[in-house]
Amino acid sequence: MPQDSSLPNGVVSDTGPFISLERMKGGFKFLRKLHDRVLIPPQVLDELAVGHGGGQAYLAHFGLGDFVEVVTAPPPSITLKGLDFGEQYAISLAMDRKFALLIEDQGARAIARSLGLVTSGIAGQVLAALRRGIIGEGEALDHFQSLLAGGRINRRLFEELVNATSAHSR
Amino acid sequence: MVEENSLMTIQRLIIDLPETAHLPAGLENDQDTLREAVAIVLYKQHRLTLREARDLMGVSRRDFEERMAGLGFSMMDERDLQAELDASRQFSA
Repeated sequence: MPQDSSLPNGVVSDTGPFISLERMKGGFKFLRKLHDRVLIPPQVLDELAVGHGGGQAYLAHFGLGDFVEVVTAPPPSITLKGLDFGEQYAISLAMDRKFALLIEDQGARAIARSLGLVTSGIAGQVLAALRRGIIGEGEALDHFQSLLAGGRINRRLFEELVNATSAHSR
Repeated sequence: MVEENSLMTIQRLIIDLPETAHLPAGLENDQDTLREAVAIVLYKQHRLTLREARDLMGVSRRDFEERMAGLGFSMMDERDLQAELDASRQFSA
């Protein structure tokens, strides 16, 4: 459950959602339509930067310098110790700021939600943009197709998301 | 068969395959491939956390997430639908 009835006014991301955005044509441009900025802890940037020659090179490669803010998170609580490092610190940062959290690993998401965080994967962000009229049905379907082709969502989830998109447009 | 090693708190899984199984030459020695397949299946079954599965494979977080697709799995599946629908409502409120 969310910490209150309104959506937190900022968002933190774990590593997985950025990998999803990398798979989408104009993925980061899409996320800019929804958020002014996204916070990530250094541990998430380290995980993203593998193969990119360092964190700053990663941010530069995707043109994220004015959109992604790298913020040190408080030490994670003992309840998060079983999670991966990026997950631990992303949850800790979202808790500290009372922000929403972009996360796609089911186990980590369950823990984040049990701690009161509002969470979303990129598929949920696409549907939210559609509901808000920020993108149209065609763009939403293109993004879901990219997530399927990129191995981020399986075909059954893809089909359910297509159904949800169609239902919204009716 | 599962062997427990109390000193290292690990469990070792030994799988017997029939002689007639059509394995690629050398697969019986390809421990990394088998370990990767087991890690990802157990992760998708929620028997291993992402961190445990990644540690078992000895790869980075990015490599783990990217290799899943190579074995026909995805990070998110139909079990994520309700959470994503909930999120879409919360983020569009």
